Amino acid sequence: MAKKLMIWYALLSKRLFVKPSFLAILLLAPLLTAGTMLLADADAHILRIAVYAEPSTDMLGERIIDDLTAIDGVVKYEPYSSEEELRRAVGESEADAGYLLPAGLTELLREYAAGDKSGFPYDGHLIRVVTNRDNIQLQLAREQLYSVLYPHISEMISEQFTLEQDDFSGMSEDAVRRSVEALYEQMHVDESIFQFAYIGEETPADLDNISYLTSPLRGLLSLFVLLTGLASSLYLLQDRKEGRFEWARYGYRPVYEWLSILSGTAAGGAAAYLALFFSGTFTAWGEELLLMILLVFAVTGFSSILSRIIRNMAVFGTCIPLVLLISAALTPVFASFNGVMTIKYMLPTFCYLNSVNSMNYRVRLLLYVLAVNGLYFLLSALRNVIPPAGRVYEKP
Amino acid sequence: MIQINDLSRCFGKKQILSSISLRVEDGMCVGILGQNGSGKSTMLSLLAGTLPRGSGEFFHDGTDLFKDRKRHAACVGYVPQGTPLIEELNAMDNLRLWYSGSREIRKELESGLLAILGISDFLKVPVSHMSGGMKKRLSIGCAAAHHPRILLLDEPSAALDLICKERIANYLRVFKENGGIVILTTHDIQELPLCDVLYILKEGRLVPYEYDGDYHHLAGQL
Amino acid sequence: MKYLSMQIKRVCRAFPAILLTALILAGALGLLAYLQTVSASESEENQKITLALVGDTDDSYLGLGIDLLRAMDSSRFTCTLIEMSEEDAVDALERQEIYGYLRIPDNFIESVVYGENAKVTYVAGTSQYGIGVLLARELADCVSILLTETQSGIYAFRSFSEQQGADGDLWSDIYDMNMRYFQYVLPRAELYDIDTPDSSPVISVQGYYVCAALLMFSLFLGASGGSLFIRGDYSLHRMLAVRGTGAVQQVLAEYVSCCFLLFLNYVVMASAFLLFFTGEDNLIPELEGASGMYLVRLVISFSLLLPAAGALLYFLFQCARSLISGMILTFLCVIGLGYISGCFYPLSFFPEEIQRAASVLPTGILMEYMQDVLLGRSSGLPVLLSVVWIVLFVACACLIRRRRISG
Repeated sequence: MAKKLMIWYALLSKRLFVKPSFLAILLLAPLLTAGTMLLADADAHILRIAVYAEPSTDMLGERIIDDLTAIDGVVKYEPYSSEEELRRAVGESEADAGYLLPAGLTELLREYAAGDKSGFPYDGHLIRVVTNRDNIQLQLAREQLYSVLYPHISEMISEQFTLEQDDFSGMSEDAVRRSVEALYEQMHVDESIFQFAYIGEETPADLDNISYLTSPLRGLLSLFVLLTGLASSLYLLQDRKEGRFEWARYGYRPVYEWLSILSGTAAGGAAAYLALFFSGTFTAWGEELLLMILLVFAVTGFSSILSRIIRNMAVFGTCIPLVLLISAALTPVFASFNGVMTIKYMLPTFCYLNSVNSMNYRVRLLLYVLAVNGLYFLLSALRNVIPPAGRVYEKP
Repeated sequence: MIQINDLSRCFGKKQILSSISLRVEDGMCVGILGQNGSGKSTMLSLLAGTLPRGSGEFFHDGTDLFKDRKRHAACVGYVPQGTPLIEELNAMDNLRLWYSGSREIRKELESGLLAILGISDFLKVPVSHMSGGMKKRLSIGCAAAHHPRILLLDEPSAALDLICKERIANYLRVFKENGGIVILTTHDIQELPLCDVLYILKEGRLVPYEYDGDYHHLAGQL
Repeated sequence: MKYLSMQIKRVCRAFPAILLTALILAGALGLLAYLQTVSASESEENQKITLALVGDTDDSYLGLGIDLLRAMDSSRFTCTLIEMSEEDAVDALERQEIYGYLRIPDNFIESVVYGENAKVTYVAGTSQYGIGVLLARELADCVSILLTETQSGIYAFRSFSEQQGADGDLWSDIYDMNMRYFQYVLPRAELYDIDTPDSSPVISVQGYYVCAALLMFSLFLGASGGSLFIRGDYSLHRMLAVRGTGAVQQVLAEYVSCCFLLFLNYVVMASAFLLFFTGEDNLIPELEGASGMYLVRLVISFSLLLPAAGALLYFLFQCARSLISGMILTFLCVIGLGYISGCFYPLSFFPEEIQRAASVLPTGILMEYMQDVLLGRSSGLPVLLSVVWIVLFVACACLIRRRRISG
């Protein structure tokens, strides 16, 4: 029997691969992934901020701009040569926002550290932010601006606080400032106090050299596998309509139909596995292979159940985008949302995408595989008890 | 021997088959004639189990095959009017789907039913490149892979050349000689001599008919 | 004409089943989009990312810092901090109740005080990194600078005091210094003056994603008609060609019926759109105060989507010889084109070269067109480019059909 199933699987797969176009289309997945990786190497940012410092003998404004433009992150800072140009850029959406830094920044910060904000030039504010619409990303960008300003502010606060102490009132201001400045430099720590890790991992993750543009790739590839499973089910419906499985031995027809879906899904899974290798999100080949095999079987079971429930090709064809869009929205392809966990657990891509870093989810994925495939064979067994409505196989 | 009792089926308000009863002994071939749309294919589909019956019984050696689906699958072979073959595969691949192994296929090709059907002539031809006759012969070869006792054929010789018809007829003769039962629907007068008993399906009922060679009389009866 | 009416009939026959599913799809997507725009609106004013604090949070100094963050810092508008055990945090993370958690090592404050700087670990979710984690990292870098620079300032004062022999009341002074730093850091948002210039209108996030959803919905639902238009056998078409209905007439008839299918789906979508995005609590800023007539005009203007999307889909259907290949090819192209046209991430997130390429791709042009319509801008160029793409796709489909007919 096992040999018979292998022969069936091989022949059903051969049926797909006989057409070069099918292979070409499968290979699109790794090609598109490789293309996206090239995309990720290019200069991409979620925000563009224009910066301008008013002319001044004090070079702090220019240094702030240099420090901002040196940041290699999701926000890009571009220096502009005049306020008018900056405003034009923001007005025409060439930049998402613009920062105007006043002249004499050092003195303004020193006065600020001493508790005096009267010199702030922009209606009582230190920096003017020009933007069409404020949002959460721009708030993040302002935190980044503050982190560039803050070393100077912090040093001045330290100097000011020291000067205010009675113990040092007899010392010259310059001497105190110089000493504190020297000690400040000496005590300075450049390293971040934060590190990132995934759940269940003790060693920190390396987030360098990753791009948000490629972050949805794994999710998109899992949707691709789901698509091949659903398309295989559509193919199966066509086969049923044309009576191709009528000669199957009693009780084995559900198995042959399941194999028919598996053959297409496995082909999609193989292409997705290859694409993952190019995606930059590949972890270890053994783990990825195991997860992909589980995903293939999960999708096969899921698609088999759908093909058992929906027997009309037009309806099934319409369900495909429904399933894909719901999976894209509810499973962590582009973003994670909380809620509707019941529906999420019904989707094969949900457990797969969460199982990359979680052993719990890998167990859940395995249970999902057993559950959906078990349910499919149970539904098929019930159908044997309650005969289905079929068709008269007459050519028109 | 098979005994069909009170087989009925309606689609909506239209009664397609009305209490059809039939008895066929082993080694016999029954031909069902009728106009297009009279319900011949429906009757075969019901017997094949691809359509649920409205009511009726289908006994084979004392067992109601409608109730014992396992026995039904083992005893009945069905060749529908279309060609339910996988177009992308060749004849050998399609046979491998239904036969237990290559050895059995080779044996049948050398001296069994596949030899009678002449399948070895086009073993490596993809189904999409086959003629209608080749497809039909291959379909019969696949349907009979499990050596059924009852063969249901829906217009087996439709649109086939004489050589194909001859091969199919030879096969059916051998099948009958081995004690098998054949029920076929046909419009082809060349198949009529193959049938031991003829019926006309008219207004949902089976009416026995004896063909005396007068085609015009037959057409009038339909 | 006969062939066209036959194709329309085929579409109409298949449509009731498609319509029922489309209604479910429209309802589900409308609900998702509604929930998403509601949460987007809320996030504009009051976004709450929930982070858990795990580990050694007993230190009073740390507790003070956390309380101050909760009460005074501008991040209280964007972030909620909850203390819990690591086990509870892992469960909450797996259930997606929290965004992540911060694991504070034992004696963290002591390590800060003595300059050893034990690291705080931010534990992200179970799926791989996404844009959220990258943003969190940048924010964490900012927070780290605030902490380490403050630490440098305090150490400099402490060292200076020790050098000058004025360390009698050092801990009290250091406490005061910390309070001084808090007084500057917590109200840091007051440093900025937000100025909105006169500018050309910019589409809102909600408006942008409504356009994206409409485009993707049209393409996806149209792709479901693949079973009607993907063929492996061209014998009927050869017969038609012999009878005088050549490749061009066949293609035009099928293309029109494909557009008709999209139109029927569009009527459903437009109804869902009008249902979810009108009324007093309008979630799309561009449609605030819009009259019913304006919305109907908008829906009519958006219908340029149909011939353009229909042409793209029909061309893809013609490229495939089997249903399975056709479905995979169509969805791959739709998702791929949608991605680089900004239907998932905003187009501005992509490199400039991609943004320029998207402006000439059919999906990018449609996105630009819909945004122009929503903002009331003139949209001559996108319309012209769409027409060019329609002609190109239909012409290529004709060539493919001619080749298939001739064998």
